Amino acid sequence: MRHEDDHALLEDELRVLLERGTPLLRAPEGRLRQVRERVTRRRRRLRMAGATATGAAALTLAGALLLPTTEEAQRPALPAAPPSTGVMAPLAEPVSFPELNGLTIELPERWSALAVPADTVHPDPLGFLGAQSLAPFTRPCQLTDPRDCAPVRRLGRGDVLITLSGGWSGKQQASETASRALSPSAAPDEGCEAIGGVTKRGVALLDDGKPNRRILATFRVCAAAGTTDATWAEVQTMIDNARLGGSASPAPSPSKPPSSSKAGQ
Amino acid sequence: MGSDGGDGDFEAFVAARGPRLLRMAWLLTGDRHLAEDLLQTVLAKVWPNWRKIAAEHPEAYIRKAMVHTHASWWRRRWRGEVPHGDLPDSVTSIDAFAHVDLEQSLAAAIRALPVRQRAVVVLRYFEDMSVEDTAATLGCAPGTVKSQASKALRTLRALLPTTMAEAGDRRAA
Repeated sequence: MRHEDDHALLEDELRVLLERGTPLLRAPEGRLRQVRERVTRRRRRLRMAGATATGAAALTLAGALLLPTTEEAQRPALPAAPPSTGVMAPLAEPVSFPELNGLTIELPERWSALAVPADTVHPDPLGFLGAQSLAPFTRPCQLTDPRDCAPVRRLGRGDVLITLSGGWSGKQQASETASRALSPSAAPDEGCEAIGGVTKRGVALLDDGKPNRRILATFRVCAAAGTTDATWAEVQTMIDNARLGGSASPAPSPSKPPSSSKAGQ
Repeated sequence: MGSDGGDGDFEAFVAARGPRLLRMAWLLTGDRHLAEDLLQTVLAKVWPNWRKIAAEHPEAYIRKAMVHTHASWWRRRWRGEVPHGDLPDSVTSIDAFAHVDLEQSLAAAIRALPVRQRAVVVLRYFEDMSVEDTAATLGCAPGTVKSQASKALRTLRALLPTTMAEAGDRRAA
């Protein structure tokens, strides 16, 4: 009882403190104009990304139809459009993520890619790379950060899942490294832990502007127990070879956007 | 929508609720410029769909979007960055001096909280939402809200012992 009273008292003190201590901030001049400008910039960026993706797909298709080589003839057929379950079969070619600044990844043979487009609920587009099939949106995700909602139920032993996200308007401090080397292993975050990950690593690709560099794309790697050096080497190679732009096929995206049902945990 | 109609409603909403939402953004970010940036980011997401959002609970929607957007920034290590260069300089406090110490202490203490605890504190104790509503906004169980709130309270009490006691005295008086 005494404990509950103390707790209630603390809560009341905190309410008063928050009300008193939070400054009364004035809106900047032209706030709504700035909001409209942000929307306009975003629409323009999405239009450009869409045009790039359409052009890249057309070029790829034309190349496949007009210039079949012996190597291509021998290569196993690419999987058809994803089945209605949304399961994404592995790809064997470079893939691009038009909504992530055209980020293009050289995907190893056994890996899969998945693009999750922006929508009104999750306005930030995402990409996923995994050494297993990616099956998004199987059940509601209860995690705080939608980016933690992974397109796999559970990582198998030795599996990794890479979450890709795009840049934003903020700038990284000049002291940040421009290296593409993955960060040291760290404890998994909530989303990584939810799918059985035991280690998390990451890296951000920065542009060359100085003194502040913009972040162009980020890689967050969640790894299960038993991840081999060979797998980490594949991950590092993908990061080393990642580029912006290019004419690779867009990564497959789910037919249903994540607004109504999110990725499974 | 947005540019296609309903601007008046949107502007009226921002004029009426903007100050409160900006204070909430400040509590989430602990920084005046980031607070304005967070609010603008969310308003830019909301504006194109304003007609649909306004038909339900726009403020609840925006609060939820602010919490999730801030969590997203946090995940991307926004903490160590400077905001975009063209942010306005006109974000000023109405009473710039009287509460400066308290504001700085509170900002430092709030920034010391993990992002989820911070969100719980803001929704439960600044927005005065119930445990259930807070849980629904954060997409977690009510028990999680309670445990996160308890941890946050312990941390804040340790970081702001005198300030919280003064707040209690002031309330009692």
